Amino acid sequence: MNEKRPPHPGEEKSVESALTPLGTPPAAPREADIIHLGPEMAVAEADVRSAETREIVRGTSLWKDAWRRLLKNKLAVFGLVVVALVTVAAIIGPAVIKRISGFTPDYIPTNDVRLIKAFPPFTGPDGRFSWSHPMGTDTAGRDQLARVLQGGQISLFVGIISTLVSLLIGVSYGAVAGYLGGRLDNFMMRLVDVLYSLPYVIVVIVLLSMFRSQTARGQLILLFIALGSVSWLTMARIVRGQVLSLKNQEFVLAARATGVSTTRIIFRHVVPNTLGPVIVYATLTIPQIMLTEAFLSFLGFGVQAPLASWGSLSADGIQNIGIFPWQLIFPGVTMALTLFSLNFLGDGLRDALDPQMRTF
Amino acid sequence: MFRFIIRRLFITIPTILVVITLTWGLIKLAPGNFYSGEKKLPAAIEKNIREKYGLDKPWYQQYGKTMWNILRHGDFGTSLKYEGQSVNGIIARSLPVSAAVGILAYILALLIGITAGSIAALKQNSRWDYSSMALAMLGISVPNFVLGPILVLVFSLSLYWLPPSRWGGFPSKNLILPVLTLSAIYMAYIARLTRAGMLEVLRSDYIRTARSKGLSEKDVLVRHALRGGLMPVISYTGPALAFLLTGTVVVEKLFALPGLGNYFIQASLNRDEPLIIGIVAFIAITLLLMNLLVDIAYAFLDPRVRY
Amino acid sequence: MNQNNGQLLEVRDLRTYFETEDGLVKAVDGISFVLKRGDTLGIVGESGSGKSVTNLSIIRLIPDPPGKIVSGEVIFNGQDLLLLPGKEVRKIRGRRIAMIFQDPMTSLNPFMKISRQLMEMTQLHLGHTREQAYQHAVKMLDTVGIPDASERANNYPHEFSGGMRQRVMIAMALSCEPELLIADEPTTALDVTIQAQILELIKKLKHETGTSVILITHDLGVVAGMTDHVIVMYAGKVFEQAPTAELFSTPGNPYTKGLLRSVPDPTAEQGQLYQIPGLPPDVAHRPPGCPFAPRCDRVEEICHREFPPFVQLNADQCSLCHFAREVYAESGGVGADL
Repeated sequence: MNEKRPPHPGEEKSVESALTPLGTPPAAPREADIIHLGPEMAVAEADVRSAETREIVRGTSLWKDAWRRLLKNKLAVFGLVVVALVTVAAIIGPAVIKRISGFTPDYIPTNDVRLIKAFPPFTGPDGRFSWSHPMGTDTAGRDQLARVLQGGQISLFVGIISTLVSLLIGVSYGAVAGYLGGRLDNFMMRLVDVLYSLPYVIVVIVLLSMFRSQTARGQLILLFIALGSVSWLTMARIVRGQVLSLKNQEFVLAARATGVSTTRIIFRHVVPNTLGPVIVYATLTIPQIMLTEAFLSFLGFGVQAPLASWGSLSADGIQNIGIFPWQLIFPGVTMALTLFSLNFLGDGLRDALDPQMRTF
Repeated sequence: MFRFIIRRLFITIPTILVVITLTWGLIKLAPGNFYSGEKKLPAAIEKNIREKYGLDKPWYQQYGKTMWNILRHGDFGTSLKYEGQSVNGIIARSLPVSAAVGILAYILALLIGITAGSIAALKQNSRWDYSSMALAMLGISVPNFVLGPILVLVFSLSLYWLPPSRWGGFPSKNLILPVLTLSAIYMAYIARLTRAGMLEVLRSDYIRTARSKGLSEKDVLVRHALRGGLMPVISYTGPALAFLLTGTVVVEKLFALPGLGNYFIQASLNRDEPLIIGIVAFIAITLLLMNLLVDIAYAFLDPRVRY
Repeated sequence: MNQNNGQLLEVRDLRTYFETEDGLVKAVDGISFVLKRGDTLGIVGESGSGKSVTNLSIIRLIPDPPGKIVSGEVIFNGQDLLLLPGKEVRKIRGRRIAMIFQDPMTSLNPFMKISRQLMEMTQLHLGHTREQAYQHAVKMLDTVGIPDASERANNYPHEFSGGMRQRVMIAMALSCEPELLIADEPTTALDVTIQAQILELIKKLKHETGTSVILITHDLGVVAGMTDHVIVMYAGKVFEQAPTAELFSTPGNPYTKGLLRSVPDPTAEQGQLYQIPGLPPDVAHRPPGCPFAPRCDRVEEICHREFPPFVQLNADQCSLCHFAREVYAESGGVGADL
């Protein structure tokens, strides 16, 4: 008897939302209709339908449609803009600041301990208004703005690379399991089930605390692997669900009939058509991973000095929360803002790529 | 159903063993050990220490002894750092602290989250909907280690209403800030899940049927929609618990609470092998059991699910 | 409520519009018809013609937003349902007008025992106690032909087959002995053999209880066997209305004729099956003129320019076409003054 776990809502949804006919005339919608997500499918579908249909129906590709819908969603656009701004600022920011004011994230103005003070935002050494430190400085006198921007570099970098890692693992795993099916699929998914219910992060903490790398770079690589290996599970499930629905589609049968090898089929034909949910989920995974990295850094297991991420900056900032609250507030708020925008963007993408049922 | 439970339990046991072994292996493989500090110890002292704790024996013997104690007596040994205290004892003492904060946080999250989400679904696209979902979004985006200190800044250091840290027993004012900090993100997730779940249910055919029978909106909502709409929230409980654990770690550090999470971090930093293994095993068992409970509850609530 | 010359329901110029991303969709754009007490009225049309929306509008179940009943009157037993306050409409729903839907799989609450779903009706509208409601539910299940009704009443919807589920829906709908039953494509989702059974059931119950029925379908075969009068809908408008027999024998509208030709005739020789060319129109962007013009085989220039008139062909039959009389005459109709 099949003792599968009850299908939890997230899984069913990913199967249902897999496919819908492209270019269906709006007059004939049905709830459980299927969407073809890939551009390849768009072409195949259009060919199959007769010429007369093509005249009457406005053929838009799914991606253009989705983009249009996304742009209509003001919150998503806001998210996109903010994320873009923050990314640009993080990339070129430190260099720009260096040119303008000469401050780098590590620059300590003087070695004389007596002269070092933490300045509040927009204050100069003499206590009067000054542009030199818009975000203030930390207790060692380092410019906060530069540090926050560099923190952004690291946080975003770690977030994106780790997401890519988890994407790689998750998509491959899910695609293989879904396509090959049968007992292998069963086994692979049970493994996922088991892993899902484990205190993954706890083991990761043990891993990171045991294997502290000597170099900051080494630590980063460790982080990529650790963080990536936490989030691939759900991606694998989603991809598998999609692949299951796509498996029996005509274009797959056609590819098999012409003798395309299984690996090629999986990776060149099936996977591109799962892109939609994958993109959505990836966009939503980035903030999750960034949060995890931040929390690890906060605890001391993540990014090591001299590199700083928003998490470690916050940890530093908390030390003096009573006296210099801005040391926590600036990195914290910046991070919250970025995550906020990423989440909105992810939500908007999901709404754009997964159209709601028409209401008539 | 019964067979399902038995089968699940069957899988759980080897899983736990694998987790323990994995953890044990990681600790053994890692460079460094629990007794080395800044300075290198003289060879003789080091030898003594290693003998005392059985660290000079070959690895398979150490593994065997550890596992034997665990499986036979449920004994996870004594802490290497905290002299003389048994691991089981430490867990027993610190668990109530973590449990209190965690459970209260989740209950609060459920209460507020479900209510807010349901109302948002009912009044879709209203001002209530937009503002509560915006707040929820904030809840997901603000890390708990940012929220916590901000709450402390406002309520303790500025307004002097609540104590900023320390454990004050149960129940006490000391609980309020940690619980709030911990529950924020779950409140947000649950609100969003409830809204999404309810919206989907409210669009379904059987709700249309219920309305066509002449039921009032309230009856439609409570008697028909709620059951299906809350399913996502119930499923979420499983993974939520896993995250709750990590959240607890942060909160305990922020508020200096002597809970399981704090001990775990300390143990990891100290390379306190028995304690680490003990806590990891305990957490793994708890999680797996809770997940089993969630699946059972799900089966109860959804008559279509068959075992 | 007066008898209104045997009229149970009169719909006058009903308009229901939807605000969508693609513009204003006029799903129902000026429908009028009459249902006599004891009659079965068929509403026929392709997907998107507005037939389901018409029914939902009658009992005011249109989701708002995005839909809105913009104008018109729905006079049920002398009362305009569109003017009643919500509370009053709820009293009528289920009690005096009941509805069954297309897909019995999704139309029943999967989390509730069917006994409870049936009991709800009578407890609410007839004030039954739990005992009474339960007895009544079992009786209804028996009436619709569910074997072992008293035991199966405690089952869940997924434990029934499709046909059985539809019977359950019928039982539920008729629990309070409503005056009007609206059946929205009740058999489309079922196997052909089961279809016949369900339709027979509806017929039988109608005779026993005297309920009037509005039957919505796209299947002309169903219409032929079940209905007394038919209205043919297209693009949110009534294109033809007639007593059933006359619609089939002497249709007065090219669309109706097209539909009739599309029904496969087993006695005809092997050949291509006829299908009305093209697809239903995009109801959000309708060009002026007759909505059917792009697909009509009788189309002329005036059809693209002007909206066709609603022509009264004889006492009971009307058609929306510039050439209604000609078409009617061609089919052998008499009595239309040319």
